Amino acid sequence: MQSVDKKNWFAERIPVDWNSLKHFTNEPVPNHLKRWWFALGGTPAYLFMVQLITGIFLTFYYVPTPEQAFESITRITYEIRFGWFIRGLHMWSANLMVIAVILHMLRVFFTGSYRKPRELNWIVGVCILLVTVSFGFTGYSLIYEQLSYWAATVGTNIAQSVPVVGPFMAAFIRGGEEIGPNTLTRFFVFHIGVLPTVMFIFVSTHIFLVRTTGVTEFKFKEQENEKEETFPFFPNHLLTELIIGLLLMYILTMLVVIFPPEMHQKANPLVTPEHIKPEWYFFASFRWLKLNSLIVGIIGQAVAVILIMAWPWIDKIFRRKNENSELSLWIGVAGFLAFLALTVWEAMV
Amino acid sequence: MDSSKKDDVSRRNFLSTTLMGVGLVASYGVTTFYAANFIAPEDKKKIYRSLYVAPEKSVPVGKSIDFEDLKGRKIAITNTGDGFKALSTSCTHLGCQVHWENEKNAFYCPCHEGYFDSDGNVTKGPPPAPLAKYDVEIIDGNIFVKVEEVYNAIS
Ligand code: HEM
Ligand code: FES
Repeated sequence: MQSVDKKNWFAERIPVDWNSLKHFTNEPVPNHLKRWWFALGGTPAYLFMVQLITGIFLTFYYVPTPEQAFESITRITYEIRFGWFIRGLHMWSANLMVIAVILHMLRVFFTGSYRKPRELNWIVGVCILLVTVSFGFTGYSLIYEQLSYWAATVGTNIAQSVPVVGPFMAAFIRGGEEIGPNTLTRFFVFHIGVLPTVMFIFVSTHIFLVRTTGVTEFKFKEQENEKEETFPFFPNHLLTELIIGLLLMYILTMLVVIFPPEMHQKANPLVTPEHIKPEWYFFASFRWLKLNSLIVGIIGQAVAVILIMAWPWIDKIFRRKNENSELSLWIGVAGFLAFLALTVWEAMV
Repeated sequence: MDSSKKDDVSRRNFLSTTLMGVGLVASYGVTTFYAANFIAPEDKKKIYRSLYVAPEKSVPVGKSIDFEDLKGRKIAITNTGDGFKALSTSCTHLGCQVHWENEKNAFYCPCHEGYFDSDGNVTKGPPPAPLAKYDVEIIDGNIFVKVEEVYNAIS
């Protein structure tokens, strides 16, 4: 009797149709998602939650001023109890997040899942990648050590050199004509305010589109004689995701314990160190800039991003003559190998 | 008669909708303008002035000394034999600091391997332009460079 009352109590105060909601959360999932690599999309989402939580923790102690940024992170790393662990989680999870987003994109690309009617969601996905590396760029700059300071200098100057809108964009990001006292504050605001909001909106849109267009269905040989075409999202698929989550937590903890975060040299605006390197996911971009003149260096990267965004339509052109054309696949392989080659090249020297 | 009354109503409707629309656009427009000004960095007119560096005698031919402008940016001041040269050490590629390397006989930028000769001209690598030059003046045997003025107070 009492429990019925309770149920009504909530139902009256939250007047939604619970059954239709159930329909949304318990949507049947196609069988191919039993394969772990189709569950890679959940990984960045999971890591994003890790970033939110550890990020909020770091914000309790971090001070975004040129005088105190480095000192406050030193304090987090060496003095505050478990500071090294929280910071380490944030740092490693950021790296894994970039890897996870790239792997997820590769899966979508090589299974052709960006094709009609999922072109828009492909674009949202590319935006998520861009936001992810922006997180990395702004977050890394917050440390205010030599390498991160010069990475911020080079990065904002790249923005500055973009034709037409560049100078305005760079001034907006830096809060001035050059890196100055405003810059760290702005990076901090982007990193913990603007980007998380934008990321949340993109990820929500992404998931909404996945649910409305459905995922591309694949058949595998061994699954042909399975009676059911689908399995329930709840609890089966959720369980798969939870297992992946547990595995991620394990990997993250191992990485933090074995490779804890450290402090290097504090930023010095007057001296560029002899060996400067950005974060690994910018290696390819960095090498490309060394190989080309400034303008080719920048336009080339912009063109690459635009091409990736436009791929669903480029692929359509390839397949107009021959429905089974594999041109997209081969260009994809070549493009990714080029990215890897530039990355490894930069890593070696 | 009936129809004219209807017209009246819709005309009034039209007027108030238009006025509301214009008001809405105007007020959001003004707000956006204020907001844009708030986040846009200040755009001050640049004023230059001469800054005393050192007596001419203290920089012998072929030697170079480091100096800083009022914003704390580094300037390399060199005696070439037939005059003094003041070069900014900010790389014209993407803003790293170059430094003089004796064995390479060049200003070297470690960021993307840019090289400049002692006149500041690019000899190798991606930098698109020579190092920026500051004007040098010699007054009564003393070296002065022209640098950008820095404001503290509201201008
Ligand atoms: C996808 C999301 C995020 C990514 C990829 C990311 C990435 C990064 C990176 C690479 C660093 C430098 C870490 C280091 O090397 O020590 C960093 C630092 C920082 N992040 Fe994030 N971040 C994310 C989300 C957040 C969020 C949501 C917050 C806060 C609400 C936050 C707050 C901070 C703070 C305060 C620091 C400076 C402390 C430190 O360097 O250890 N981050 N972030
Ligand atoms: S910043 Fe000097 S070569 Fe790129």
